[in-house]
Amino acid sequence: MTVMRDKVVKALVELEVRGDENGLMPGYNVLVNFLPTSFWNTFAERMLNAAPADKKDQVRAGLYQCAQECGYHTGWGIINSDEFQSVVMPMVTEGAKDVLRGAFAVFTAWGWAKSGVVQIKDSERMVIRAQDYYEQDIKSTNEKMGFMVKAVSGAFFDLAFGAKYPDGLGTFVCEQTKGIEVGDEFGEFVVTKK
Amino acid sequence: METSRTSHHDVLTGSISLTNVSDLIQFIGMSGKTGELVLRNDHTGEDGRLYFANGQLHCVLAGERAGLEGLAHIICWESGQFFFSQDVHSPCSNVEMPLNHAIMEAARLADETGGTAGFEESLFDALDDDSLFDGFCEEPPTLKQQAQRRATAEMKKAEAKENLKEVLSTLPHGFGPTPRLNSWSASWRAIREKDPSGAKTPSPSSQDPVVENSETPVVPPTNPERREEHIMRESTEILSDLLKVPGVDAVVVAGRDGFIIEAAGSSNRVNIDDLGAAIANTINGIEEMGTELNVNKFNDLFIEYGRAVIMCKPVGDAIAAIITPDASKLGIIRHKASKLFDELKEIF
Repeated sequence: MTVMRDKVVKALVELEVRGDENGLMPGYNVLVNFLPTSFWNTFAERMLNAAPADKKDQVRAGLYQCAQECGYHTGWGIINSDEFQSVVMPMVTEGAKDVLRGAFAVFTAWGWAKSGVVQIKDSERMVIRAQDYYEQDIKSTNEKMGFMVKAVSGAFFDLAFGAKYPDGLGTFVCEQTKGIEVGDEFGEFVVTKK
Repeated sequence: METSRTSHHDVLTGSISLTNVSDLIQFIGMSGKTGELVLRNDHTGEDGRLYFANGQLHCVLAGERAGLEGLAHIICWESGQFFFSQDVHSPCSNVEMPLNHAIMEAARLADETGGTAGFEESLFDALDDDSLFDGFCEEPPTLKQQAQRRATAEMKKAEAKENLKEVLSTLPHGFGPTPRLNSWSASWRAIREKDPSGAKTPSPSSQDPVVENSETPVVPPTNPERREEHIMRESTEILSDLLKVPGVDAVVVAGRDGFIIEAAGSSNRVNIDDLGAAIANTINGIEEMGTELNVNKFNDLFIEYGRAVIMCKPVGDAIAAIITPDASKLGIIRHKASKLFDELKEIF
């Protein structure tokens, strides 16, 4: 038995989630906001387009770091949530590998990206493929813009194989090798040791 | 064979190069015929005899080989002639399984014993296929002419073998047919990384194939660490190759958790999106059963439904599934897909 994505998604769909007075929805220890994805896309797009050529790398690094920190702490919240412990953990038979599969199933169920694990080499490397990630709509920059999936993939691998939380952040780094926004069929993200 | 021909029992004759042996056998099986199918390999002069009773394969004789071993030998022949004589009865019974099952088993045996011989055979088949002569002479060839052609073919074959050996000996280690897995990608990668000046191009990994200078031969590693940019291209290409196998409607690679990693082709019989979860659940159950029974990991799974047949195989951490409309081509699919699955194993 390993983690079954369809079971995780079905379990999440059955959760009763309701926005609080701030428009935040709690579930899996995560507060999900109601801001439209176009807001975040415009934010990243304008930041990058506004930066002079010699500062663009800093903007990219900043966008990556924001998503990385968010993914690291959110990921920790997800895997320690009551929902994850009761829905996903009973299916875990392959340790960290299965926890990662479960985390990406939750990631998909929340609608962040239809993403999943292609390959994992313990403590070494992970390949993720994603479709329907919201940053795929950013076309004007003519470059790979999947900062959120990219950084979150790296952060999840930090949680699985880095030092104990919260000291493992940044142990691994993720590169986006393919992107729908640049004409590929899907986004592909490869995590390796920093 | 002479007896059956001279006694005017022939009802079907032709060239093997126009079809393939497994399709021919399945055709006779589906027709429910009783009789003797004689196959002659033009290269080796060998005869193979298969005896059918009401469409069931009862006996296979191929020189010193018999039964499934004989069938495994014959099934790889790609050129030659065949003659089917009706109402000839089987002299013995050495195949004790249904026809499709026998073809699959034979294909499996052929895979296990084939090795690099298959590569060389196919090259030589292309060089001396007698069907190339068809239409260039008014009269059918006499026995003497046939013998001459065979002798010429043998000479060409020996000559080609020598040439091939010579070519292979000049290639650097890692090229040619010997390392079957990934030899293509290793070669391609080494060639791609070699710039026109012969100098080494910048590479993110110092362990990548090394091209020191134009005098130093290219030495790709036997099991090169794949870089991420090769994964998609290669797996896409392999899936396209799988789609070219006759009878394959669609190919899907799914993760153990049911995530559809990649898919090619389409099937109006099966919803590919649902297939990932279904395969993952099924394989989990099957693997649990294997663990309980202590019979090791599963290697193959065939599920035959009324409107589709699904064939699954583990490829690394993932599972590849082929969808085909019926079981009639399962043997040939299994045979032709085997090497492609091996390549997929390297990727996932």
